[in-house]
Amino acid sequence: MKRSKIKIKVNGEWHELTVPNQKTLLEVIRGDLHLTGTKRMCDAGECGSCTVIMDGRAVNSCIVLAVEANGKKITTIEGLSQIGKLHLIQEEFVAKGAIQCGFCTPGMIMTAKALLDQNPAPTEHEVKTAIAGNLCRCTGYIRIVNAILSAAERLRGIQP
Amino acid sequence: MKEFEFLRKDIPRIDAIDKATGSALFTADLTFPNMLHAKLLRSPHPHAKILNIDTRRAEKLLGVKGVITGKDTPYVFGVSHFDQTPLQTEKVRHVGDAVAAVAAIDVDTAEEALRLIKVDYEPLPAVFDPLEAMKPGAPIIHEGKERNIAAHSTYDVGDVEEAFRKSAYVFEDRFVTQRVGHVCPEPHNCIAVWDSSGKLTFYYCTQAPDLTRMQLAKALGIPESKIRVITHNVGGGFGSRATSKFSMDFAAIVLARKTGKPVKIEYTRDEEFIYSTFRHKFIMDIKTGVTKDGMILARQATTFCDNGAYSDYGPVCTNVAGAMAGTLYRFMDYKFDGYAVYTNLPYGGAMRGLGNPAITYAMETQLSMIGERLGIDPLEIRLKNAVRTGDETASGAILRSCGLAECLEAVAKKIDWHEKKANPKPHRGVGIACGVHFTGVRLSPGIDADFAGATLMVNDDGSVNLATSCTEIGSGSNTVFAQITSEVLGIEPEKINVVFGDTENCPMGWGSRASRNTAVGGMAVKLAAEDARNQILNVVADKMEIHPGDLDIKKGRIYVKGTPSRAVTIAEAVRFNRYRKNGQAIMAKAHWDAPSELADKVTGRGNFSFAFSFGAKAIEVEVDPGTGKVEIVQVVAAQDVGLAINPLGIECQIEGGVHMGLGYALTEEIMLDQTGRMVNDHLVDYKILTPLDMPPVESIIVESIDPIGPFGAKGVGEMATIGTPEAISAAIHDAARVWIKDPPFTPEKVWMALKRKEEGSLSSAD
Amino acid sequence: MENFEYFEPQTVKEAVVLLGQYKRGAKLLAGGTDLMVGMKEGFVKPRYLINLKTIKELDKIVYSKKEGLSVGSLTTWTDILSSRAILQYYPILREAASLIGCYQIRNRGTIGGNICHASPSADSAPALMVYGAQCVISGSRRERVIPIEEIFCGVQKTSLKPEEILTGFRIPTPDPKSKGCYLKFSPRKAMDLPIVGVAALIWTANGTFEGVRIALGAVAPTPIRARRAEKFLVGKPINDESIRKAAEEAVNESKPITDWRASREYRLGLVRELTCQAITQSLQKDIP
Repeated sequence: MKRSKIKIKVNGEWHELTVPNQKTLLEVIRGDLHLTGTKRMCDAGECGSCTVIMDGRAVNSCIVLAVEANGKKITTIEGLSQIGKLHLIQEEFVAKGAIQCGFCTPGMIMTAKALLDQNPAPTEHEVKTAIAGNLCRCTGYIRIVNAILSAAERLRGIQP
Repeated sequence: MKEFEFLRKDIPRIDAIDKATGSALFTADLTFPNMLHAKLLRSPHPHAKILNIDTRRAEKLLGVKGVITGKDTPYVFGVSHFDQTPLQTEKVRHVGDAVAAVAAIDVDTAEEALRLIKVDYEPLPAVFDPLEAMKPGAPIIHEGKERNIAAHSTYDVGDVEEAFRKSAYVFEDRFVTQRVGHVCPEPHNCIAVWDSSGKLTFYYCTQAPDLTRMQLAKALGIPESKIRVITHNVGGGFGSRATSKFSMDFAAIVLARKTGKPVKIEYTRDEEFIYSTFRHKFIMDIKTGVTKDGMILARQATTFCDNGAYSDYGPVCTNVAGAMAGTLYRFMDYKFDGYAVYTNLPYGGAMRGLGNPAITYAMETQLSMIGERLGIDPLEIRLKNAVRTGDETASGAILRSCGLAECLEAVAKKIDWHEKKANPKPHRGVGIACGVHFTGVRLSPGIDADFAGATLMVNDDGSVNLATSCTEIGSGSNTVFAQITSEVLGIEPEKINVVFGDTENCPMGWGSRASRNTAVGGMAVKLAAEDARNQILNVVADKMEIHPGDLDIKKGRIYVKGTPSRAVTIAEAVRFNRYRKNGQAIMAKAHWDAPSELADKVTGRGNFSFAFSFGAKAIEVEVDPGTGKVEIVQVVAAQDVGLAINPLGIECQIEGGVHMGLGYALTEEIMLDQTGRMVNDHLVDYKILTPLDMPPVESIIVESIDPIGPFGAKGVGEMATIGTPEAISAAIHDAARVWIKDPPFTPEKVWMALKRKEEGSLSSAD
Repeated sequence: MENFEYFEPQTVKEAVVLLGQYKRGAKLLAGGTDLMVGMKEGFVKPRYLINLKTIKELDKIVYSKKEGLSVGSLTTWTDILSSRAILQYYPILREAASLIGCYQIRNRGTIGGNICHASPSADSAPALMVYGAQCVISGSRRERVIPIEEIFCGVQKTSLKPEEILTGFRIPTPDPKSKGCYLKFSPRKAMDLPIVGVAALIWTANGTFEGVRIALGAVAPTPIRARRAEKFLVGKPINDESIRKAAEEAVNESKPITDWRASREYRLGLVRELTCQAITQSLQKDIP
């Protein structure tokens, strides 16, 4: 049997799919579910652009098999905001100049979300450590780190 | 200082929300019904005759819809020299040269089909070094190209021999800079779709849709009107998508025509590193004559660009190196010989700055060495020689605005240069370097054009549709255009819809290359906006029966000067103008060709760009003698941008440019094995800096207010990449008293240099 | 990637049976951070893939003063970093874990997967070696326990038999006086394997070295204990000369290669430098 039936909860919605065993979670997200916000930059788990949150943890979806995700809860970038209303992290990325070409942005934001869910008051070093596996070629990361720290303050209810 | 309402403002990127939500589309995200996926078959040999290609087994594989070889792609293309065909028929010239392509229902099937194609090769002798390639007896890579020279670029200004004779000292040094990759986040990809009338729509992650169309039309031998190029957001360009063409583009196009279905082809990351071009390796011999107190009297540069197997941007990069080497300092005796040389290696192309980062690295490192040899402070020697506003340089550049000295002084002050030089801390050092880059350019041989276009429509609600010939590749050009339009029309940037990336709906232009967006693209936008403004004022003046000169626009309202209550909104004016007998719309257009010139054929001189951006960088390092590791303590970067339309955007570009420069200086190198296969073609092995590696960067904006650029603005993006490695090589010397001449300054290189120095001093002590 | 049959055993026994059935055509899937890349590149082409994450008992961390630490092989690096016992009693392991890959990799990568991938540069190996870790292995016969050094037998080669599974590690409680560190030298501060990695665990008495353990990564086909350096240092006075000489011994025990990443000469230089630093830094640490 080289295909498997899986049930995955993506952005709050359950999906039942039958997939070839070698299909990755990234391929299912982008291909079967047409959620193209999650990007494929390297397909080898070396750049973080395919980061999604799976059962609370930031993971590189290109090196997770779809079958491994069976029964799990997944959040992609599309699950972070509602139409017309951005998540605070997204607002700060926009406001702080943390976005240039935008290709690394979804993965970067999902990593930030996973970090802040787990550690609401990270130091600058902790932020850099959390996003160290999210490569960006445009920004030099400085504004991204600022945006995440700013979002953390706002989420904690502190006015910047 | 003039006050602006929307300029010199840190307005957030107008496309940032879409990117933050993941709804911004890139070409890589597009799919079409019945779309096929294609892959290229690449040569395992660096130089070989193709004896036979047998595709029969591949054609029979279930799921394969089309297989093509060189006989299906009889097209010739190139950037300035037309020496490439998409799929080779006679011979292959580098490992990875494409010989066949397959379209199938999915990527896995296409890859399986590639394995079923049988190619018989007869290996030929190959050459992998440009100096070796120029020697008699070297294998000839392109027939008719003697000594494998793709192009030879020259400058011959004044009399260098005489100037060298007059010099107190003449220094000659060789520098070699390495290949580095663009590492665009979005891998190269395209989708070709033919309709039944024989028209091609080509979806492509290009920086220049019009140039793509032009090149495809020329190569395919079909009219431009039969090709539509569409680009969406581009996940990084940095020159790799400027106008280079690739086998993959033609493979998708021909397979789409053959199968009657849309065909998508997408590079894997390992292909993206090496087959989307990269920054060339340059071997540079710099000879500089100076007076006793450090005035440069003459410079002679001979450069060898390791072109790779096809010329692509090699000749243009070489031209750029020659031009920029004669633009930074005031000497007027200058000679340049630049060779773009074929080798049996994957070919390089245009990368942020073209040949400028390499030549500036060489010249600036040598100048720091000269300063040391003469006992002159590196800042002082630069200020002494720096070009100024009004200069006409050895290269023929006319500097109508120049903030070079201000940039040097600003970074020196910020990093506390004099204090750190006077009281150095153990293992720490500071280095300084400067550079210049153009804003739009006329350096492609024979192409007398440097233009951008804009069209503008004001809508019934007072918002604006602005179409530009430039592409938003992440540098923030759309936002700058909105700001310029806002400033002229008095409408908030939120009301400006910027449209780009469709050759049928957008005006023609040279795209987003050569740092031209803000100033060349921006000038076209400004002119179009001014045209629209005049139309609006005339309409209202007509209605009010007054002179247009008595009106002004602010915050979307046209009001009578002195009587602000007597006003109409732009929306009202537009609607009134449209919904009446013989109604009209407010529509404007502009095409602006920058006032630059092609080079003189004999001397090479010419004012090749209408404005030049200057910059300086001062960097402090700490060198660990035990491991050779160079830690960057801080980077200070100053840049003369003419006028800062969006200071936040400029700082962002500077920071990104520094990131790229730090990689060039410390960790990045495309490593090839003895046949030209890339050995480190993974992002864990090709090392761009991670967030933990990035040092603090302080950006300083200098405004020299260019007399021509829109509101005084000039280019930004490429100057940001220049200066970092040379400031670091000087800082390493300041800290550890060793010159590491060839980047990247890996820990091993530094450690070895320190070790050799210690051994040398030990042996000399015997 | 080529397709395969996929299994989710619920117990170690089930997994062992599957391995026995499919032998060399089968691969075990832990965090997938190494295996998935190998499969995508075509280096590894399993026809049968056995997911170990569905076995409940393989990701537990249990500590007692008497028994020491027991870590299941499917424990992720993130879990290791969250463990108070490891923070308090095995700080070198924690240090090594914090330097592996990146956040996303640590969320999936496992200690067992890292050791079974058997890269000579594996960051966790020197740390486990200086703590005297033992590997617990289940197969078709009785469970066996071996010192961690014995699991490595070459570059990306373990001594595990085709039907065996590394189920966990047992690490004795270190000497209460001991202090140590793991030093990793790599071009970048994340995502990189070390060019050289050195772990040291030291305890002293009366101004001399009483106990010394030094392990090196990336300087031989497998991670190694620098036993000659250790032997040399025991009983020596605590001073720069002893440390320097011990580092020379470590250099002599190292057999690094020259490749595009670094030359042999440089790697040996790093062994010298990092061994000195590791011993020195270990001495300066506070006793936990």
